Amino acid sequence: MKESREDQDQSREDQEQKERAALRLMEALSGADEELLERARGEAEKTGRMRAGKPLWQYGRAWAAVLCFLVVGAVSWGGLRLMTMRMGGSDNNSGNAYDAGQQSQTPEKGPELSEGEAGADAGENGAAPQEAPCGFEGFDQEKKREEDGYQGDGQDAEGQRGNDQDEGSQSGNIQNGAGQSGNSQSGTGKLENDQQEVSRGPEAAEDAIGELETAGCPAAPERQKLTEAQARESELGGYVPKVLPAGYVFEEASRKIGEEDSQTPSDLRLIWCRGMDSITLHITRDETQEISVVDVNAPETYDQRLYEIPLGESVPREYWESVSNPVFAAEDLSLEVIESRMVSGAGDSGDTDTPRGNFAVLYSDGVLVEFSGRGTAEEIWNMFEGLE
Amino acid sequence: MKDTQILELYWARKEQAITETQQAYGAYCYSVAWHILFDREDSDECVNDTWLRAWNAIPPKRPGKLSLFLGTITRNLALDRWKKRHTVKRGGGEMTIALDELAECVPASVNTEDAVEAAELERLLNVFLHTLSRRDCDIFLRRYWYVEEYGEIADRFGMNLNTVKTSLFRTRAKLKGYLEKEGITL
Repeated sequence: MKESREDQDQSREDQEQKERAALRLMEALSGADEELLERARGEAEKTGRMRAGKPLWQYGRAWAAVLCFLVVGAVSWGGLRLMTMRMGGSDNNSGNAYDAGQQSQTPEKGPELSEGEAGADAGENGAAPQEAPCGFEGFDQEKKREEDGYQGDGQDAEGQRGNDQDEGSQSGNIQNGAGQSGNSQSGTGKLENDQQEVSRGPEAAEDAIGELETAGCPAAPERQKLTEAQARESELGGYVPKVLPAGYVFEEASRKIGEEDSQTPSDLRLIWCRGMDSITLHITRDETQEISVVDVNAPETYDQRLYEIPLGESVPREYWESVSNPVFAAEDLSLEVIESRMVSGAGDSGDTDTPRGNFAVLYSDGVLVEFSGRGTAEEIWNMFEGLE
Repeated sequence: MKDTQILELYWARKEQAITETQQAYGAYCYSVAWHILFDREDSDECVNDTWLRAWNAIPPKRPGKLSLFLGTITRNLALDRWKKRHTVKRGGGEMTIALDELAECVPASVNTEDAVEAAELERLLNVFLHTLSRRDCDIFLRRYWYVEEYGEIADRFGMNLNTVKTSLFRTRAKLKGYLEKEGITL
């Protein structure tokens, strides 16, 4: 009897534990990627009903790629025909004066016109593939590579439209008789290369992204993900805190691609999490930007405790910016200053009761460390103290 | 009214922002809360709390997608309310069934002391969601994020009820396998 009751208790306890675990899963789903949620919501509500099969427009990218091939093929074929006609005319000496005159004009204008049209067409067709990567983040690698591959197709088309040098060299090749087939190889070969990039792995895909960026696509991924160790070794790694509030674990780090370029401001972003709490640091060095720091002797410009929630109503308009995002000079930073920024307002505590806040610190070498997250003032102070 | 216009009203601290938000997203937020709480009064309160939270958060916050921002607030508030209510009595409705289903995904070793951090779990779930096909992912989210009934999902996507059930069954099995493979204890 006693054993069976113990068994019952045990199984009830197991059941409760499983329920708690299921609830944790349910809660963790709140953090599902926005794009997935938006898609799940949008897909269902767009038409009210979705057909089981894929609608035609979903094949838009594939169609765009096919059209690009067709356009490039048509341009190459047209050029080849012109070359053949021209060479045939001179080799065979079969043309009359009128033909010869026509031929001498056509190669100069013909390819340009057809390529211009081709470029315009391809540009239109390429628009869809280019749009796709602009907003996406967080697709898995495989999908990303797939997207990048498509983007490559679209970009090639765009590149042909916009790059006069390419056009010049192509028509130059035609005029020089350097081999039209060679040209068509380079044209379609580039597309094929892009497709191969898709299957060759992430490095190749990154190369492809690099190529696309140089071609001026604004949609290429802007940030490169880093491990914590890589972040610490990076140019701004000295500003990655060594001491973090207890319980925080590294979540992610990234930097702007193209940081090595002196034109691009240095930039590093890191996130640590502790349950529902998180700390985000955005470390930048942008010598072109003038940053004004708040006067720590004027607490009304930054001390959130002086104002009631909603801040939009209690903070004077002239202090909105500084109260929302104050920047302190590194030498002015103190526990008192941080206390003024780490608040836990009644009724506005959010997911946890841990004080939360945001501010930025400007260091003497021009590095700006923007903090946003949760922790006690002491914890955050210790974190920043460790930086100096 | 567009999201950007509504956000401008928030930034200008005009109370019309709440009216407009309610008009644009009231039904959506209510639906999110209702599916979890299965109670009209509680759902109404959740939605009202959502407006308050939004009013207090904007400015300085400027959400990218207002619908998801509001939906997530409502969902979290509804889950909190559900938990409080659940300590008193076992709630009814779809939430209980959805939770029972999700319990199938819980890896064999349950040990709350070594439980994975919530943020890590969120990250892993996102990785998992991205491995799913678009259709399976949408169905999974409609079921366990929006807590919709099978029939509702089938209706939305123009699918057979059994197809939805099969998809969810397979996804749950995959999720369990994935969590076990990652060595996750919940």
